[in-house]
Amino acid sequence: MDELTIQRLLSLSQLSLDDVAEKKISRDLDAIIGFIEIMDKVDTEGVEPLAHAVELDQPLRKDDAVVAISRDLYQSTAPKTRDGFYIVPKVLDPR
Amino acid sequence: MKPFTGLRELRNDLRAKKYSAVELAQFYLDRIAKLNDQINCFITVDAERCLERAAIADRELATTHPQPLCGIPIAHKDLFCTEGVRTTCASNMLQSFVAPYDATVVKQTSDVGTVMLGKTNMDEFAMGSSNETSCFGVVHNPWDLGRVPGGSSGGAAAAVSSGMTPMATGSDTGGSIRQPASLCGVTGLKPTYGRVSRFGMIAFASSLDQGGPIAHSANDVFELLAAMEGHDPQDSTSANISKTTLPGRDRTLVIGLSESLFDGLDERIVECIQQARRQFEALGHRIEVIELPHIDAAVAAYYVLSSAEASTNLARYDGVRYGHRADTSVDLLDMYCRSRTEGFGLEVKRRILTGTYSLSVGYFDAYYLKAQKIRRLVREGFLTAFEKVDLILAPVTPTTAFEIGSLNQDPIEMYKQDLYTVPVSLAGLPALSLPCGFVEGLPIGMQLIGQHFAEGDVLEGGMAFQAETDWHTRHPQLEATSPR
Repeated sequence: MDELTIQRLLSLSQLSLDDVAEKKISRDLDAIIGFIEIMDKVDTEGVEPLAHAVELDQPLRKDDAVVAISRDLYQSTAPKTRDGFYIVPKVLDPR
Repeated sequence: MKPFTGLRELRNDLRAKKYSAVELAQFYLDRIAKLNDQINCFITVDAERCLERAAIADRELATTHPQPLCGIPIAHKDLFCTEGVRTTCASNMLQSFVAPYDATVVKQTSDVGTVMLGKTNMDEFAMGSSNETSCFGVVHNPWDLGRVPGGSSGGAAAAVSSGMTPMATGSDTGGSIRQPASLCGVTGLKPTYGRVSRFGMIAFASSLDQGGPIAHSANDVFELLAAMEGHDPQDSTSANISKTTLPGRDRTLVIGLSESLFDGLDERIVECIQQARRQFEALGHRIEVIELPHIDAAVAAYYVLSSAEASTNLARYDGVRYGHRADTSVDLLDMYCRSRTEGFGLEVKRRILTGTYSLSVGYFDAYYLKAQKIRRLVREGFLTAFEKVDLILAPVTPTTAFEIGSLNQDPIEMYKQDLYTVPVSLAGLPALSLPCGFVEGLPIGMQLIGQHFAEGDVLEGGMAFQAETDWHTRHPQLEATSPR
């Protein structure tokens, strides 16, 4: 796998790797892609893709209001909050 | 008290007041304190909470109608959210995450009186077949501490196998209950997709993930399944279907066997399966030869689909709402990237990148769509077989437990461990993994695969087999092993 492809995948995945890990993962991905190409041997002409193995109707619940978990409780797991908002590094520079 | 006691006996003893739920919980807590350093199957043990819960169970046991599993200890895989007790997924990403609610499986098992001992080790985000990718360290197989317990529910299987808990929950995406059950000599069930609620079970691949029970016997697995299963309004993929019942033993089952699965399989494992086949025949059941097409391609399709779903599911870990956040970041994108890079281990990164690749422009049709088509063919292959058989007998693993460190540098060799389990996952079928022999002192299991929602058939078959064999009653000799 070439450098450009790896960099594109890392960027899409929001990940970075040091040189050693990148070389290792690049080799692994080549091996994995080689391995999954065994799929080419299967004739799938005219076969519909299958997303879920069990065909069941998705039951809808009654459209009744229920008490949800409180915002404060959910936000208790967040690294940084203020006044009910999640705090993240600045996106826009005000200067 | 004995560490390998089945649920029926534990229930009878508790009700006969041979010992209290508090004494029973303390017995297992002591055993964990003694053995966990060797095995490393628990990430978190909450003794105080456990004993408090056991005291409540004792009060319920004094009433006329205690719940069926009242006072019996349980361990939950560390991907089931537990309110107030951390849930890590064995990842640095969630190392200090404490969920604000219980997973439905945790709530349901608690509602029938079980007493949680703690949370079991696993492969990071359930991605692995050896329990070597946990950020809390590798789990050791109780039968040979130099070997892996399997994965990803390796901690759960090892905890049951070593008698540190009488039962445990696990989850199975491509074999993560069945494979460690086989390598640790215990019984585990992957239920039909939709049988058990996924609410509060941290997602890996949502179209495949399914929680299920691990215990010492098919009977105990059935009892724990009864507590775990059922429709959950909070999981729209959970099936609204009646609970599992046992069909009764007085009928002749037709059991399918695909001998092409034996190609390249260790002959000693083949012999264990053949011996099981003869056992079923001796019980009056009939064996029918079947073919299961596209098994090799199924493993490839599984890795494409599960990695694609993982890359999407794990996008939620961004350091904003929960999980690890990098200390120093210059801006928002940098924070996402650093938090994810620091939080995820190598195998998780590998799967995210594989999934991203197969979903990206130019590769989607060749990989993702192709894999979904193969998924349909694999499922059709099983459904065709089930037109003439009730159950399918198959291997679980191509080898017995392998040595720690022997496969983890080669992802392909590791993925091939899942050859016999992933086709069942792609088809969404229920399958029981139960011990059927030993090879050089190491346990090996077999699978009984059933039709969608036919857990009753699968469990009945397993119970009939275990009534005639004693493989599931053999236990590792841990006390004699020196600590590592």
